[in-house]
Amino acid sequence: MKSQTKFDRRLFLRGLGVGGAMLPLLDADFASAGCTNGSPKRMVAIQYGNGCAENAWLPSGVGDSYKLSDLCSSLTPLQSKVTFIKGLEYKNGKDSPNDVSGHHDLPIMLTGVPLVEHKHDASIAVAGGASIDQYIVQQARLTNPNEPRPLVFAYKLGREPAVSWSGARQPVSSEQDLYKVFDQLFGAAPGAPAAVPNADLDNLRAAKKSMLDVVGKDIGRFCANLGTADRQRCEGHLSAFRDLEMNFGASVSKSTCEKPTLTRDFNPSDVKDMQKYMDAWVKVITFALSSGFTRNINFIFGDGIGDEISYPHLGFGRNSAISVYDRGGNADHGEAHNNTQVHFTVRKWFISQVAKLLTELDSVKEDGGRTLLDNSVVFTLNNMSTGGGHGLSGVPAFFAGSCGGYLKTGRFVQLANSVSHSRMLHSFIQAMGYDPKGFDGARYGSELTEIKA
Amino acid sequence: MTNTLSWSRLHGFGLPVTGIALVLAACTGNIEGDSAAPPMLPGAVAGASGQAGAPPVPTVEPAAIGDITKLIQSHDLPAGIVGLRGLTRAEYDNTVSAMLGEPVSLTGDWGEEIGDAGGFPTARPASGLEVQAYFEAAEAVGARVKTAFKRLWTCDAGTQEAACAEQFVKRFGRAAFRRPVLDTELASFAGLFTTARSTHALALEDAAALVAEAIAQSPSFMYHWELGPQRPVAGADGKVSLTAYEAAARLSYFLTQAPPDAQLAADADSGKTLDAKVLTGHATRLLGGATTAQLFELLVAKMLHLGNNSKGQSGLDVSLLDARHRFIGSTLGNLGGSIQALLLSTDYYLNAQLAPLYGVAGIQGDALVKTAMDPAQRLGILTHADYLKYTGKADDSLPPRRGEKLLLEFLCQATPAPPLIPADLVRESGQTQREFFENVVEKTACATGCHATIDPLGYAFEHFGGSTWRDVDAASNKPINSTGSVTLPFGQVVHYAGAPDLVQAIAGSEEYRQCMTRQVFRMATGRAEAGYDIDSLKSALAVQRAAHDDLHATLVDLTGSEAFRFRRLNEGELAR
Repeated sequence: MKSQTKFDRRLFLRGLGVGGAMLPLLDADFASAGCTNGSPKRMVAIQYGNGCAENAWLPSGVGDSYKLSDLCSSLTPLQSKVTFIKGLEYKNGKDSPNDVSGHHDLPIMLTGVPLVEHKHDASIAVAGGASIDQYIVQQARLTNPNEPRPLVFAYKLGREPAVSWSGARQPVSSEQDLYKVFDQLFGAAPGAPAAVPNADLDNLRAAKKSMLDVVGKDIGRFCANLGTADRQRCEGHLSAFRDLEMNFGASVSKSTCEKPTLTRDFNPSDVKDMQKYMDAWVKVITFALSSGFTRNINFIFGDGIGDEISYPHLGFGRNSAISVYDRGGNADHGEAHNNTQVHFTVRKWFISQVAKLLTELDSVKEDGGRTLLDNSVVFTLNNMSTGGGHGLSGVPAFFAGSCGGYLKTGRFVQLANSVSHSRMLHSFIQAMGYDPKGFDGARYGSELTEIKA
Repeated sequence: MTNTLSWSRLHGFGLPVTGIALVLAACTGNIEGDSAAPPMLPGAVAGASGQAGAPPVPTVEPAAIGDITKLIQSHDLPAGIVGLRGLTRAEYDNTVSAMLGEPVSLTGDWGEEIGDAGGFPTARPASGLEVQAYFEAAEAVGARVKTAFKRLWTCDAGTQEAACAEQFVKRFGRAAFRRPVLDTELASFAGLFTTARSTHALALEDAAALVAEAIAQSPSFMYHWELGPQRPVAGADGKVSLTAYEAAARLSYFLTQAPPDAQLAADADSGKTLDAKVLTGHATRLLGGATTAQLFELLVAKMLHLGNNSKGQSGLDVSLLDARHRFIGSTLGNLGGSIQALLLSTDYYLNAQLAPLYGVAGIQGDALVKTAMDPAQRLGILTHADYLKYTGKADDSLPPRRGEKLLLEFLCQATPAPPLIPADLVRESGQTQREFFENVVEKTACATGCHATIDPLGYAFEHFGGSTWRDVDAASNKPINSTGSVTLPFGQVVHYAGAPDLVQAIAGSEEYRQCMTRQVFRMATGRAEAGYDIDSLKSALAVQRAAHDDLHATLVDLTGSEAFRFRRLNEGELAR
């Protein structure tokens, strides 16, 4: 079973006769990163695919007296903390080569500049700059070298282009196994490293840091001799390696959080267990943010086209009451094209999962009478306007949480003309406390004042 | 009353992107000939083009399209590029095994090959999770060094420990990097050993393991870049000859997915692998080895964009993969095999799981049994169940996709990227799949576009609803119509009554022969062919023809070609 990977690796090492002193330290170090005091600002990006018709999606009314659509009605209890935006456009997609049209063009969603390579029919989409999650960490590390890395994970992303990028041509992979995500956050439940005296542990950590330092310099020398495009990719490797290296800087002893539990009674990759996955998803994100493991999460549901997903728990699957067609029992893609009731039911369910997450985040009390949600910005973006149109204008989007009071919530903002979604991302970067200038060079304009408090 | 299949739902094939996009094809194909004539396949465009991790293709790069024999070598650019590429899973495991001197598999839980979706380049540089996976694998390498310490730490009696460490770094690093360890690297890794021993007071075995971990995370190990951290040398013509080590590694990984063996490594050390004849000699030798079957399995999987790993699969999917491998081994894999056999052989391999798909009774058990198929129904790989499953639907045909894949994969003709079509054309009750698509072509601009080209190729396979044979369309209760005609790219008009007629015509065509040459070329070089590759292609094609289309000869010839042994500087890369 996939969830046992790390455990199996330890067994493998033990089987080779490796003593406790040489057991991997990585899990323990990941697990120890957290439990920060205070109420830092956080960001969660939730992406999904296949669009949604505006008349079903958007609220009615304007400003702060808006009424949620039936499709989004699960957000009603949180309406004062949610803002919908009408009129966003992927202008960076329109300026990319070869007719960007949504499905396999996922890198446009969280970046602010056009793709540098794009061939839709070959599923090639290469970002031209950093995605917002990575950009924020890069900015944060200018003043705090210990800023934790983003948590980048996905539900059935498959072989799609990456959704997180540390720079042009520098993809960051999404973890696709929720159990592995959990283990990275909190350490594997079974087979935890054997007890090692602190002094030995510190010495081993120091030795490993020496080794990583040698490797890091080696990668740096290697990258310097490559051509431009290869060097950019190589520097992505170096950047990821530095992340890894940094995790050895934390001291195990500083971990004071109570370790959460995750009942491993479902298969994270089986659509039949999708609801259990999403319930665990809520838990993992909430823990990750509240523990301080990360301030920054990048998640995508599905592969941008929905080919791997059916919804048997909703009655839409190959062997379900409504038998969907095609390989894998795809219930999302084709239905989105036709705006069927199946499509709206699926969308409504997904929004209800986001509502559960928001509710959970709002239940975590932090300093100053605020909640974890108040100190965060959680935003959703779809990769296209409607499933039938594949348009890059009128992208379904909303956010929740004021990010410490920076953003104005409880509103329905209708932008007069199509506005680059990157301006919304600008606002989120500023809400997190960083300068968005380097994100896209303000290519499509600056902060979206309509959503600023 | 309408059936469930609509135009828009074609987006939902659940298939890799290429198929989805192309089936919605844009109807902008450059069809030639008048409307009464059978449709002419569009002029070729460059084929497989790699993926996100593949080298970027400069816009000025000339395409090598059309009949290879009529093309002229272009000198607009000196040679193709060689981009940075990571070791594949198999290459990683095989290289670590060579480093440790014992078989090791450390990539079992790494999941799918990253960057494998778009074409022939098979791995991209590491990032994020991959770096972590490499770190963990490196720990396992270190652990193995510790347990096998006595075997790996070979040192003459009386030699100082520091000198022993240097010997270890040179030997272990040579295997890891596929070239000698440079002085700067030696100083760095030996210095780590000293630090581990003196500063951290690690035991000797632990210090050696730590050094091994470092080497196993070095980019010189993880990437195909045997040049080392030094600048390449460009000739007056702009060509950069691969170094002897690069050439040896390229040859070895191409043919065996493993680092150079002792003989090849020795020739690299002496610089002999700069000689084309030495390379082709090694190629001939290596193709006689045990890994050749896997090479052809990989070639076909890449060419057809099919999975090639049973890991994580079960039941029927494993049987389908095993049966395909056996079939490829019996047609292409053996010396004397041919590309025609790949399309025309009726010797399939079935077990109890597969037999019902083919309507064959009496086969028991899991073991695959060689079974002669009815040539009026099944011929070669195009009517194999897994290929039909991949190109069709679970229980129906999909003519555009089948035609598009046939065109792309066996005739090396790509269709243009499709436009966005929001229209909902609905398959009506009583229509067969073919009638639906004929209706699409008739009623839309696609009448003169891609569907007019690709659909007739697919109609030949209408007897296959999914993988199984059918005489009647279940949805409409109408008899299957699998007749039609097409014009192949070089002008041959083919009238067919069904798949066997079309497959035989393609198998005997020059287009197919040249396409297979191109496919081998792409696998060998990790990139699409271009105008500066024409001479290399011509040579490989001539050799293939002389060898009666046995691809062993093509493979050998290509390893000695200029396209294989030379490159040009990458943009921004500095030469010495």
